[in-house]
Amino acid sequence: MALLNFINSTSPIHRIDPRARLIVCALLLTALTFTHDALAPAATLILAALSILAARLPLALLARRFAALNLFLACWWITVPWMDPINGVSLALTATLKANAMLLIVSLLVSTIDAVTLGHALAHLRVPRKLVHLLLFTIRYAEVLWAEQQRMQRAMRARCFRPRCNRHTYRHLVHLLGMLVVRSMDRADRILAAMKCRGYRGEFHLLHHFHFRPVDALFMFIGIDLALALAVWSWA
Amino acid sequence: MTTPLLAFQRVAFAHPGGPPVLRDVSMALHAGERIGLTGANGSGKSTLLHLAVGLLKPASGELHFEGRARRTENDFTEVRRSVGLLFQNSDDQLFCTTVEEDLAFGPFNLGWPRDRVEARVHATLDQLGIASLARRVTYRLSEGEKRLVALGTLLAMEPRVLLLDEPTNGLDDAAHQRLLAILNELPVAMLIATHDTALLDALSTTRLHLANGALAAR
Repeated sequence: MALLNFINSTSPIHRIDPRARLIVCALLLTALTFTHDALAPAATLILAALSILAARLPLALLARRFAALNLFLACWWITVPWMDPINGVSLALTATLKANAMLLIVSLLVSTIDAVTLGHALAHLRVPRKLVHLLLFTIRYAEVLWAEQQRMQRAMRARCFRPRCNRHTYRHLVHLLGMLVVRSMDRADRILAAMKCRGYRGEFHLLHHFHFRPVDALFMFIGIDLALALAVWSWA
Repeated sequence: MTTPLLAFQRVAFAHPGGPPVLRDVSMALHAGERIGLTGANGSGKSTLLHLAVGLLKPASGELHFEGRARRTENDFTEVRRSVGLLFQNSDDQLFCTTVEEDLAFGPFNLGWPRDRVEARVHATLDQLGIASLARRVTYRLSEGEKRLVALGTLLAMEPRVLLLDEPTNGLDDAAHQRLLAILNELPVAMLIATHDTALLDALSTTRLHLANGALAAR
């Protein structure tokens, strides 16, 4: 699953307390949104790229993410310079640098947290429990739903179904989608029943706690300084 | 005559708008008993187990646990503390992301303190011989491992009654043997709904057959 691609590593970044990583990530992203020239994002971009190399993330997977983002940004480059001939190019450049820097920061600090730990870190950072549980349930059942969809699609193919651009295709794809929704609702009922059987009363308890170490404090210190530097730079 | 742990008294049930599934079911499960429940597909075996823990409500008749009639959701909340239901599909039962979290879910709901929960989770994993799975993500387990973990989530709550719905369904020989060995060691009363007669030969003390909405001894 794409959610879990960047977690199988033991670089220094992976060992930092996920809560510290989330906070620093949020601060850096906020600071970046307030910059308005191209220089600050460019500097951040270079710094983040160096850290990515140090964290030994799988570059091929990362490249695919950046391809998707920059394809989207290409639309900017096609339209924005025409709408504002004076500032258009520098505007598009700033936006491109900012977006790439942000994606690098998120890849580095958030994608390196596995989804389960991410949920728990968010819970410990006082994110509403309902949202955290929504995230954890999504992670838990995304694969089950996917398998169910695959199973139904295989059953259709086994009876010579080939998607074409016609009424028959659309009708049966809608049936597939409908069955998926119906089955998911049934499954949700069964899961709730299973939860009730084990005494569920609307509350989830977290088994694991994180330990904040001096190295995490150092990481946060550096991260906050960087965010402050960015903020001061754009204000000055 | 001792008071049965779990008793059905003339219970009838129908799904809304459907034909009656159970017409007149009476039975009693005593401590130490292991009752095997057989019956054709759709004869209402799962329905009977779901009625026992109040996930479905009977149209008429009464359910007793430890000698007291149980009617409301609050009554059954108490019943579920002592009666564990193993679902047919383990993916429905394992909804937490890791194995140990799933085992901790029930005990936390019972209001146990954290250190007691942790000790209980590890004791249960050891009892089932699956301590190595503790940190694994539940959806990445094999079907046999999932079934053992699902059983573990019930045992972690120290139940007095286990209701097993097709416990050996979809298991290979090795997993089947392992599950059988574990169940044979457990001192709790059981109601086992299954088509697996080999399992009942090895495990059950009594057998009941469900047909046409009523129970008969076998």
